[in-house]
Amino acid sequence: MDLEELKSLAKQLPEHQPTEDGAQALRDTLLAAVNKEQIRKRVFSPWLAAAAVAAAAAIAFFAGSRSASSPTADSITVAASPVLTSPDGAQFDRHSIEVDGKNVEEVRLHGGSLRVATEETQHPLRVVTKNALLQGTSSFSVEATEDELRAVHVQSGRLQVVIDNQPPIVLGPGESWVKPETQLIELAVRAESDQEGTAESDQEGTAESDQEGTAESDQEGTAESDQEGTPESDQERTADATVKATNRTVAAAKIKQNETVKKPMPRFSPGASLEPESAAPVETENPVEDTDSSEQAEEPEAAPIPSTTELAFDAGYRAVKRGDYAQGLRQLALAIAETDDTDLRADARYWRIVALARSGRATLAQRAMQEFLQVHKADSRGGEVATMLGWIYVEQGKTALARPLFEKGSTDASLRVRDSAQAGLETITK
Amino acid sequence: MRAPGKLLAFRRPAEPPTPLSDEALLAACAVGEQAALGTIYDRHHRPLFRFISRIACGPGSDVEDLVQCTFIEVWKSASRFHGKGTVRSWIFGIGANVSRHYIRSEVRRRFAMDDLSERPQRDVARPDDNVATAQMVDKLSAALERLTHDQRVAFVLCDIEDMSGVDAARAIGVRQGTLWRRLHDARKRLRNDLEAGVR
Repeated sequence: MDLEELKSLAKQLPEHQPTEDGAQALRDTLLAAVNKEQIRKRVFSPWLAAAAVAAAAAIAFFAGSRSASSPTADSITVAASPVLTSPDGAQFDRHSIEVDGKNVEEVRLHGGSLRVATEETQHPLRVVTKNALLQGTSSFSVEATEDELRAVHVQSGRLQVVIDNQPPIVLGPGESWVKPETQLIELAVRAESDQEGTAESDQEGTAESDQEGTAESDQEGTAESDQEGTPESDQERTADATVKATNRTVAAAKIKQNETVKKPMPRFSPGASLEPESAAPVETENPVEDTDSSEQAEEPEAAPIPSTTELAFDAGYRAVKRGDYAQGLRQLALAIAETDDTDLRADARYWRIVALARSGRATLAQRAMQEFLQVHKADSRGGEVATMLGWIYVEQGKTALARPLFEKGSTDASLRVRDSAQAGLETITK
Repeated sequence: MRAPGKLLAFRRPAEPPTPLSDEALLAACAVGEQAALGTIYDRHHRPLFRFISRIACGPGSDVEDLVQCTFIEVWKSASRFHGKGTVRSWIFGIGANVSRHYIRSEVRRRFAMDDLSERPQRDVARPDDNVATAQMVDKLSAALERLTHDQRVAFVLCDIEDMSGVDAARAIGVRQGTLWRRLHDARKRLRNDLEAGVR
């Protein structure tokens, strides 16, 4: 066979090309990811970094000259500033470092709690503990014990949190990360490193572990977890999510509602929501008695105009329901990236998991599940997501990782989730 | 209020704007212009899909992830493009590196690799006169998977994507001599496998 023949044959090899929708969805996901990266970059502009360095130096100078006690050799604790306050006398150092060729102020937190407010001043600052890195334009409080991150709560803006070299989590306003009491995540991380350390001697690095176990779980893991977890979501979970959405809408319109109302409502219907009629309070079985009806009569209620992120979520949710996963992923990615509403973000992340799992994108689905469990610990769908992720780990042979997840699922309110989790535990035991 | 019957001065339609070069788009990416990345994606995603699907030998969903990772790396590394080769070859080089990391972990996981069963099956019903060619393509596909990653990248870049040796060597960051050796080895092994009828 001559060279030309070989080349000609090689050009007939099958190739993978995305559909138009798939390519568009990928484009949107890519730009959303890049947008997050840009937010991170914007925080560290060189001028702001220079200003921060100057401010830090000034603070250090005044603190040093006014303080009678000399600092220890390895830890110079600097006075707090409006950007950084310490309610309980936290132990921390501040210094300037170079990141991507730019000076950034780094706060090394050893213990105690700090309040950081960089959103208004655009102060380029990041907080580091032994096991975590926090950065972003936001106001947040952070607590560490024994050099390790214990909790972080974001009041406003966005904060990127990297813990134990895991993929970053982006926290929005009102969101928190707390070191799990059950040590679930720690157990998972430790077990994962144990498993990989013993089974695979030729480790290349942590980044690659994200990509492991994709093809097999594509075939079996997601299919099973999809069967186990998501059908129920069409019924019970939807109702739960719609109640949340309804609550959000009503709150936005400043309509006092009886909180015991759990009547399932359809999600936003973009066209209908803009009509005055649909802006009326949700019809309740127990109408609120203390509502001032005379005021209502004189002052018509403001229409709960859905935000663009609500509309994006609604479009994504509907697309997933009708099986258009590419469109669903596109819209949900927009909702997650743009919204400041924790509930909406939880809903969007949940349906993104469903869309990824159903479209067979196991790697991303797995990552999305891990993120969901870390960020939305108290969410009612936590047990279901944990069980889905547990089944993926079972398919990958990572039973040590799967066990705590199934244990979480086995206490879920839903019988189907409990049954599935129980079956998972039995599978592991065998 | 406009006077009735007044005509606007005749204007020649403006020339359509000249599309920006890939290099200009990359420069725009380097200063954070997201739209530029969108345009680069539009121009190059199809060749990149083709390239990665041939060197990664994985199912479609993984190819999508690899393409996405590649473009994210393009965005992050845009400022490091110095214009020594074409943007396309530079993107392919990044794609080859991203795929290399992916393949290493995949190989570890599937070290008892049953590549024949993993490979997507082609349609059974084909015209008779195409059967022989199709069989050869199948054989070549299997043989390609047996090459080392470096040999496969060299072969796909030079012999399938028709990239020049200079560009290909630059794209994957090796000397030309190294590239030619890899390409030579790849061609030799593929020929041997095809002629021996190994599957």
